[in-house]
Amino acid sequence: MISRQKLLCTISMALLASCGTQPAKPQVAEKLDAQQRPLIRSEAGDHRAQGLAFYRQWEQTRELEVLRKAEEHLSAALADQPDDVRYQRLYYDVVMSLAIFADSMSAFFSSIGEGVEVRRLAEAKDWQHVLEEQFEAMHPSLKQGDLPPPAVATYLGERVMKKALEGQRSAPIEAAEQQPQKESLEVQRAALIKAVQQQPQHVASWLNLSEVLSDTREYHLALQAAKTAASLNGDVADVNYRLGRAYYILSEIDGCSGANDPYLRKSAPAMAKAAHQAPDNSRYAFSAAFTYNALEVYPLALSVARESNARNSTPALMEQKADALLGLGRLDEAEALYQQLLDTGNHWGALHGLYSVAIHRGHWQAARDYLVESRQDFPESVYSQLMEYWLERLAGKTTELPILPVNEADPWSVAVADYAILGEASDALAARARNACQLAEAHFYQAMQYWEAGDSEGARRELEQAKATKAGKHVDHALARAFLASGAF
Amino acid sequence: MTLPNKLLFCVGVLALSVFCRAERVAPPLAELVAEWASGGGAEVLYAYDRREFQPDHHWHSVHYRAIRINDIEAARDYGRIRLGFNHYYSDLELDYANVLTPEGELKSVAEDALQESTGGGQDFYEDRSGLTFSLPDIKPGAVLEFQFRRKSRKLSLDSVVRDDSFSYWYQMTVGGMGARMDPVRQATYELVVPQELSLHKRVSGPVEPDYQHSVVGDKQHHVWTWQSLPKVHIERAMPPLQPMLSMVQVSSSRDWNLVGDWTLDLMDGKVSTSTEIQRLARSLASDNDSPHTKVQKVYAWVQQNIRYVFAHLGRGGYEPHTAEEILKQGYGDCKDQTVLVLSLLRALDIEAYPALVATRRQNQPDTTLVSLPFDHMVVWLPNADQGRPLWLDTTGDRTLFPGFSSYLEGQPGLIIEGRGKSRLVELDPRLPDNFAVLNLHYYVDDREHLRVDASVDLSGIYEQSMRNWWVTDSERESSLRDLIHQVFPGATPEMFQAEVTDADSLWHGIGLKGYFDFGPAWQEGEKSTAYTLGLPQVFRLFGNLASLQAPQDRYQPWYEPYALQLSVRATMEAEGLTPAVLASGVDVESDFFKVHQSGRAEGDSYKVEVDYFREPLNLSLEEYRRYHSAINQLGNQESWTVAFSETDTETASTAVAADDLQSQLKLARQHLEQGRFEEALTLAERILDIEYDNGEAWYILASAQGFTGMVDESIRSFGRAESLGYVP
Repeated sequence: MISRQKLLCTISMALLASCGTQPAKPQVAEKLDAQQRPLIRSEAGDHRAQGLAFYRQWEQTRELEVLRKAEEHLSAALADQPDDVRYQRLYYDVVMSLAIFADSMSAFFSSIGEGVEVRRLAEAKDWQHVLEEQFEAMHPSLKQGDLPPPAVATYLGERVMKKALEGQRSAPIEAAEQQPQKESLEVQRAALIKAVQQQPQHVASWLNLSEVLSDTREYHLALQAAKTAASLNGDVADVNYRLGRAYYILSEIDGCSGANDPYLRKSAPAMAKAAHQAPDNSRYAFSAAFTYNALEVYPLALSVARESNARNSTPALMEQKADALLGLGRLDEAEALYQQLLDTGNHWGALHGLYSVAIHRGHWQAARDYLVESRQDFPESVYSQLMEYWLERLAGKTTELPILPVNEADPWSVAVADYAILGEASDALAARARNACQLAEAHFYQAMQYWEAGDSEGARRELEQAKATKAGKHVDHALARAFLASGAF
Repeated sequence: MTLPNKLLFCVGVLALSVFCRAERVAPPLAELVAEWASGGGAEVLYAYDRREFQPDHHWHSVHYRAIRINDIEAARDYGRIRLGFNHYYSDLELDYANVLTPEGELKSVAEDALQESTGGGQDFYEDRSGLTFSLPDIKPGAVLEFQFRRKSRKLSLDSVVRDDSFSYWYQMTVGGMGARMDPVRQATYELVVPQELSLHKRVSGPVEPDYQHSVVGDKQHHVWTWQSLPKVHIERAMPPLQPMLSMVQVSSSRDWNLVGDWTLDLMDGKVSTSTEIQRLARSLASDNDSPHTKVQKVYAWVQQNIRYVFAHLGRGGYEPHTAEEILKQGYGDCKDQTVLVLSLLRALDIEAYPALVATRRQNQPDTTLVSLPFDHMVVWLPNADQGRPLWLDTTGDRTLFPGFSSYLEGQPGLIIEGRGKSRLVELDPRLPDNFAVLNLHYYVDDREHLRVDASVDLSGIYEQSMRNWWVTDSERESSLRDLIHQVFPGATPEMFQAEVTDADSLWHGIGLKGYFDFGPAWQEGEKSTAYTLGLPQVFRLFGNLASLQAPQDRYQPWYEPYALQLSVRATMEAEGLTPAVLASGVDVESDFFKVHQSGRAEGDSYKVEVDYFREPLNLSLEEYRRYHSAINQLGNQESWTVAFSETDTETASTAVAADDLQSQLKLARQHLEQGRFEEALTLAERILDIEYDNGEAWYILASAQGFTGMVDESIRSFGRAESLGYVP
């Protein structure tokens, strides 16, 4: 059973990214009792001091009662001097925590018949309403910068609930988890749109909105939200990464993008900025290196991957580093890295890399063997069967075209199979390509047909055209480059 | 006897006394020294006072003191002994003055080390005399002794026999800035009166005396003896001295009408109804004037025309001059001015009476028994202030009407409404409240300089003290600047001016003003500034709270019998900028004071009010320690900080609105980034009305549609933007 303590801790982590294990500080009231009667007394001052002390104590303990006491004292302090922005902000933070708590956990505990205190707190006041009122009453200067707008409480409540549920598996939790994901996303989306209207300068709200919009597949809106976040504060790695992701997703929206893709081109610098701002975040570095490799900007890809890999080596980063080395024609270094990856159990990426290195070197049999080995991790495809056939042919073997596993639901797959089976060198396939990736494939297959027909010149021309598609992330584009590099054409 | 002759006579008597050895009233000095072990500082080993009254109430007395000096500080303070007396009423003879040196040698005062002087201070011409002498070899270990006699020449209040014992020796410290009352090991007060005299006695103080009464012949002998009277520390803000003193008061009467009637006797014929007075009164006020106005006009005329001068040489100091004499001289003391004011007021049909007052110079005398504790006279008007009584004192130099000192609150007074109609009162006139209000106006001037205009409103003791300081300080201009600068003690303004207003006004309290120019208001081009203020600003000016005596150095209770209020009223503004309270003070209370603080926005300005209220204090040492700590803690309380800055981005956004397409696109983007999606949507549609194939406009429209829930429309608009080649 999830504990109330843990839930409160989860909430506070969402808010403040800290959940201490330090012992609770003594309450101010207890301190006062231990002393003589104070020389000077100030009811308002005591409310301030105790409100702050309880708030600090809550930061340490996450005890509900402590948070409520902080609210009571700070409310009284504000009643005494409502214009003091320090206590406006402190009270707002307290009520924000209460609103998140009330919105998220009360319903949850109610569903599982637990948390009497939580429910009592939720019923004590309409915390969201109090939060909205306090927001309205606050000084305009506070509504700039990092002040979370009141609507964020609803969003965070949803997130906290989700986080809590992710970590727990029990019958009551399962029951509570029935809330449809889509409905939750809609709640989050609406809350965050309201949040950015309430506090347009709150970077985190725009950032979170971008993520939620991405989850709801509203990629253009997600990009707009990320751009606004970046315009507000371009010094935050998370913001730049989100911006890069938003661009990248748009570049992928038709299933293919290449070095000429404007979204991919805008994704890379944002990713690189994120990697630079958070050098210990290997995910950001990987994304930046991957995007640069896709753009065929191999020196930058290598630089990002190498730098980050030196800090925090991961297989994904090593693979990007090897890919960059391969793109730069530094085959030995690339091969060594791929081999290292293979030796450490990272099969597919390593085998694919070694396969590419073998093609670069014209080691057709070795390439064919890597291809077959890599097939253990991936289902058979028209591409795989055709490549195995052509590699055996390049290795000097006489072999028959295999039966191709055509996916009838995929018109392009059918077209490729038809073209291969026809066995005539022509430009027919390229004419049917619908995007850069298909065009790269078409030219590659056409090149192989020209080669089989003994027209090396035609094959080379087709490979050059495949390369010119700049479908950098697509395998046939990469193969065209490798085949050209092998010198066999 | 003329003064030179009198001096010669006295010195002759003194010389005779010193060298002929008058009858000694004390035990031999060696015995006294042997009896008491040495203490610290100085100590009176033996005090003896004897007064004998004759049936006609004339008297003669003898006094003896033996004082041991134990340290260098005491030696310094006792280097000069002064015996004061009024030669109009009595004679004084020094029988002898000796010192027993630490080496055991007895030395007498030298002829050329004793001197009689006469006269008072500035503007005082009186019969006050003093015999001053210095003994040789005053140093630690020395014991000095002196004996002197007094004899009445004339009697002031001759109907009442009165006396009191004062066993201490009140010694001014070196430099005259302080005084000491060292412990007394043994004291005797002997009173001899005619047997038929009925005498009231009042014994008071912490040490009970032994008392012996006997009748010898036709005389009563009363003898009181005290042992070990403790040292009385003389400190500022100490309670009235009398309750601390172990003493005896005697008087033949408890009827204060005797004093009132005696006063009226002295004033008889002095208060005038002469034509001259009548004419003058009529020239000052008309019948149409209200009683209060008439009083004000008389007050103003006396303030402007009659200077305070105490001119009573050869008159004893109690009998006033006539109103005509006063008019002729253009000056007069309190009695004289009372006579003149009564004359003028009565000529204007204003009911007014003389009143005797004991000022704080007399400490706070007990009035159980009749004596003459009063040292001031004022006018009391029972109905002049809209039917309420008014105390009028014209003796100050251009003081605020009605001129009555707030320091007199709680002092004894005797209102003399006629013969047999005198009544003792504790002075509780409707005195103005004691307050000091520091008004501060913070602003940015036309040159964008940070300015603060300060003004101070004063009332009660603050007003009176400030006015007196302004009159008497020989370096008042620089003192004023130093004082006003304490509003911002750490600051170095580019320009600073200070001035005093209404210093001579009879109707408006003296005011202080300061003008601070702190130079450019903005730093590094950022148009923002912050103002701070707090109670310490007015404390530094008027509180003397920052320099309270350390509790560990304090011996006496702390006594400040006045309620007071110190306030700050601040208005802060910076045109075009919005205030934000970054720090604020809170209400505070203690056993001794209260502080109320509040702030409020008024338009673009912010107003702060801070008030410190203190009730009268009479604190024990422990309470003073707490008070001292409470004041220190008060100094640690949070002050106010109010920042002024530009906050709203609305105006910036709308400022870019213009007719051209790019400006409108920019504004539309700003709407999006500010969460104003409806406005963005409307503007994007308007832009598309102008240029339908504008990809960015479609993109903004799509974003606005998406954020406002028009999902399908948003998808179509994004598609349209893409098809037009727009990449965000």
